[in-house]
Amino acid sequence: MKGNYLGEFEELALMTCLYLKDEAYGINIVETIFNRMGRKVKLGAVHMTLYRLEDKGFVTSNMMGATAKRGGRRKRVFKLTSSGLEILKSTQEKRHAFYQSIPELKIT
Amino acid sequence: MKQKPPHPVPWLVRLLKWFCPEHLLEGIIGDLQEQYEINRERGSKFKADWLFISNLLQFAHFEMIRRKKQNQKPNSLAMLTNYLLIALRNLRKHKQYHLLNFLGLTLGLSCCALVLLYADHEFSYDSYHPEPGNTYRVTGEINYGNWFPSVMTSYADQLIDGAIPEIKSAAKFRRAPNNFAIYGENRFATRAVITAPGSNLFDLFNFNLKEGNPDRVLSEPNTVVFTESTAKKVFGEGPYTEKVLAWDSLQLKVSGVIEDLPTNTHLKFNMLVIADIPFNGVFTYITLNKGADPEAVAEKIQNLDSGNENYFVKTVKLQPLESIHLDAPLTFELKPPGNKQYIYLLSLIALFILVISSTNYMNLSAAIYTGRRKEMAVRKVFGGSRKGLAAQFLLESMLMTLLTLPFVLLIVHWALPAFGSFVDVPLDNAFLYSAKHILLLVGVAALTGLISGMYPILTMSNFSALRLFRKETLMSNNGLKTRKILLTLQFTILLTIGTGAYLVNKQLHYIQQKDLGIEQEAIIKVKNAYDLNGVEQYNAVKRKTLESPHILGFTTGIPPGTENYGLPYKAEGHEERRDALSFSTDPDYFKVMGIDGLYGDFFDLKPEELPNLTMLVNQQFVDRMGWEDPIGKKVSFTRGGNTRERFVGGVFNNYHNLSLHHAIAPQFIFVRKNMSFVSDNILIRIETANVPAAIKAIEDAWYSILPDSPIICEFMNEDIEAEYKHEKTAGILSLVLSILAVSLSAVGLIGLGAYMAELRNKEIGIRRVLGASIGHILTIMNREYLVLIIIASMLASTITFFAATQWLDSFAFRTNIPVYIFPIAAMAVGLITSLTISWQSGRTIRENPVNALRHE
Repeated sequence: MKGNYLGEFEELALMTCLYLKDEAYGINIVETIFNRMGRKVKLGAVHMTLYRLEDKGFVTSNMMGATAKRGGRRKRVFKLTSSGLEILKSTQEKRHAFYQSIPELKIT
Repeated sequence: MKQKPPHPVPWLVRLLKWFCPEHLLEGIIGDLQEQYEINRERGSKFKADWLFISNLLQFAHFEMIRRKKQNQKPNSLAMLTNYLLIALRNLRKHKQYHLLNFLGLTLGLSCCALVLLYADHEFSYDSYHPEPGNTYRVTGEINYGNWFPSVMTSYADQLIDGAIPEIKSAAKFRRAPNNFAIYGENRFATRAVITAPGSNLFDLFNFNLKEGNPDRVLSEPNTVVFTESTAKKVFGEGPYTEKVLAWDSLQLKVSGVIEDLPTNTHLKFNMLVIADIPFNGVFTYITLNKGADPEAVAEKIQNLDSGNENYFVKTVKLQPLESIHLDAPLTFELKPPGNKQYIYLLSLIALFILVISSTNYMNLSAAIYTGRRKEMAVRKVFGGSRKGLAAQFLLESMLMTLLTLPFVLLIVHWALPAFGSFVDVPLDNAFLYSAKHILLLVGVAALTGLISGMYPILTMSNFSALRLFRKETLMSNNGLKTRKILLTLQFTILLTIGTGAYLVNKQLHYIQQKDLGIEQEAIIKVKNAYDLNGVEQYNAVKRKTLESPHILGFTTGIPPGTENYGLPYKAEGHEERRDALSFSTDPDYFKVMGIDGLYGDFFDLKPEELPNLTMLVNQQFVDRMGWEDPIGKKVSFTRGGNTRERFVGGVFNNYHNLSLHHAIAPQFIFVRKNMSFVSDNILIRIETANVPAAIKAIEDAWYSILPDSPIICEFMNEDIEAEYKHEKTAGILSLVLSILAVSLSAVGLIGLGAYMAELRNKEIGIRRVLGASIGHILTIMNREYLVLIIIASMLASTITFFAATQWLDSFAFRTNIPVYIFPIAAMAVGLITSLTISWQSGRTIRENPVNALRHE
C-alpha cells in the first residue's frame, strides 16, 4: 500500500470523523464539511473514500443507532484508528511547517 | 425491529443491492433514506426524489463493483488459474499415462468426427433446394409390384398444365441415352437428362446459374445447359453461351452454364438438354402449396386419365425429395441408393470406440488420482469445497479432451480421403469452415470430457479429508462397483466387436468361395447395349467382335443378380404365378456363361438345327412344379388378353441367379435364334491370357458401329461383387475396429493394473511376509478380472449370437456360427488382461514387502 500519504479529500474526511466522534456517519460528514468548509461534497464520494481509508487501516467502522428516519437501518459510524490519527497529525504538521517556512505570503 | 418506509424508487434500490457489497448496503441505504427525509422536509417531493436518484447513482462506481466481487467469494478466477496450473503440472508429471489417455481420446473422437461428417452428408441429400419439405417426386407402381421413379408423360403433362390446384409447380425430365457431345475435335461422354422447352425445373431445384439468362435458359428447344466442369472439358475456356455442339442427332446451342451439382443430390447429370422429344416415362417432380396433403394429391394424380388404357399407373405415391437418397431404391433409379442401416452401424461403431476411450480415461485417471489423494486432502483441509474439487476434475478432463481437438482435426484431415473412398462418398472437412460442425465437434468433445471426468468426481471428492490422508484403502466403496461395471461394459464391447468381426469376415469368405454355378472371371459386361439401334447393329458388333482370337463368346442377356421378376406364367397343372425370373437371349448364352444343360436336345443340337424359339427352365423351376419329366411341358403366358403357349425345351443346371441373400429362384429363359430385341447387357467371354487385347477388340468393334456412343463395360464379377459392397465394407471396418478396440482396451488395462497394484500394496506386502509365492499373489490379482471377463463373455456371446444370426439370416446361403469362437475370444481377452495386470502388479510384488508395510 502507498502507506503514509493522504489525499486532500481523505485528510478532510479523517478530520471530520475525528471532529464528529460518535456521530461520524455518511450524511453527517457531508453536512459538516458543508458547514465548516462551505464545500458541497457528494455522499457517494464520502462513502467511497471512507471505505478506502478503512482498507488502508486508518479508520474502522461500526454499525449502530438505527432510527425511524433511516427506515430502521443502522448507521455505519467511522472511527479513527491510532495509525489514522498518526497520519492525520503528521500530515497536518508537515503541511503547517511547510506553510510556515514560506518567507513571504505574496505573489511577485 | 425494522420498519421500512417506501423508497421513492424501489427498483433503483434493487439495482443498488445488485452492485453493492452486502455488508455495506445497510449503511448506504440508511444514509440515502435519511438524506431523503431531510430533503423532503426542506423542499418539494420532486426535488427530493431527484436528489435521491442522483445520490444513489453516485454509488454506481467501478470501485464499488470491484469491492463487491472481492467480498463475495474467494476469487474464483484465481482458483481457476490454480486448477489450470495444477492440471498442466500433472500432465507433465504423469506423462506416459496422459499420453495413453490422449491417444485413446484422440482416436475415439476422430472416429466420431469422421462418422459425423459421413452421416451429415448422407442426411443432407437434396435439402438445399428451395422448398425441400414441400417437394415430391411422383413415383408409380406400374406392374406387379414394380415401383418406378418415373411416370407416364401424359400424367406429368397434366400436372404441369395445372390439373391439380394443390400443385404449385411441376417439372419433368427424362434420362437420355449415352451419347458423345461433339464439339470440333472434342468428344465427351455425357450423362444427360432431357426436359421439354419451358420447363420450370429451375423453380423446383436449386441450380446456381453461372452463365445465361435465368428466365430464358430453359425456354428454347434444342438448347443445352452444361455443368461448369463439363463445359470446360467440352469447350475449353468460356464464355460458353451461344456455342453449338452436336449430340445424338441434334445440334444444340448452349443457353446456360450451372455450377457443378453438389455431391449430396440424387440428380446426377452433366448436361441438361432442352428439346421436344416424345418419351413415355419421365421423372416428375412437384412442389405442393403449403398445407396441401400429399396423400390426397397422390390419389388425385392416380385418378388422372393416362390417355392409354394399356399403360397406366396402378398406384401413385409422392416421395419426399429429401428421402429419395436413403429410401429403398426403385426400379431404374437415377443413382445408386444410400443405406440407412449402414449409417447407423457406423455411428454405433464410432460410439463404441468413444465409450472404450472414455472408460479408459476413467480407469487411467483413477490410477493417477490415487497418487494425488494427498493433494486433494490438502485442498479439503484448506477449505476446498466438494464443488471446487469437482470443478478441478472437470477442468482437467475438459482440458484433456479439448486439447485433443487439433490432433483430431489433423487425423480427420489426413484420413478423410481414404475414409471417403471407403464409404464411397466424397467428403470434405467441414470442421474447418462450418460453424455448425465445429460446435458439434466441440460439443461431443466437451461431453466426453464431462462423462470421463464424472467418475473421479463421484468417488474422490466425496471422501473426507481424513480418509484421503490416511491412505485407507478405497476398496469398499461405490467407486469400485462403478468401475467393475465399466470394465464389464468394456469387455463386452470388445468381445462383441471381436466375434462379430470374425463372423462377418467368415461369411464374406464364404461368399467369395461359393461356386455360383457360372463362369465369373472371364466375362465382360457391356452395360449400355440399349444404345445399339436394333438387332442388326447388335449382330454387326457381335460378328466384328468374334473376329478377334481373344474373344470366346458373345451373347446378350441378364447377368446373375438381377431381379427381373414379373412375367406371370401358368405352368401345366398349376395356378398363375409370377415368382420366376425370365429373360430372352440368343443360343450362345449358356456357352458364354458356362451353364450346364441337364436334359433336352437343345444342348446337343448344332446351332443351325435349333428351332427358332426354345424355352429353357432351371432345375429349381422343375422342382417347384414337381414335374417328373419336364421336357415338353406346357407353360402359358397371358398379357393384355392374348395367351401364348410355350413348351419346355430343356432344363439347365441351377446357378445362383440372385445374390446369395436369396435362394435360387425358379427361372425360364427364352432362347431365340433370331432375336427381335436386345437386352441392356452384352456379355462377352474373353481369353484371360490377354485381357487388354480382348477389351481393345470389343471397343474397336463397338466404335466401328457406334462411333458416337461411349461404351460402358466392366468385368461381370465386379458387378456381382458390388452386390456385397456393404457387407464388404462392414467386414473391413469390423476388422480395423476390433484391432483398434483391443489396443485401446489394453491401454486402459495398463492403467487399471497399476492402480490396483498401488491400492493393494499393503495387502500384497502382508501376503508376501506370510510366505505367499509370487504366482499365488498374481492369481489373486487376476481373479476378479477373470470373473468380469466371464460375465462379459456371456453377455457378448448372447448379443453377438442373436445379432449375427439375424444378419446371417438375410443370406439364403450362409456360413454357420461356430460356438467355440466365444470361449476362444474370451480366453484371448483374458490372456491379454492377465498379461497386462501381471506386468503392472509385478513391480509391486517384487518390491521388498518392508517398503509397503512401512507406510505411516
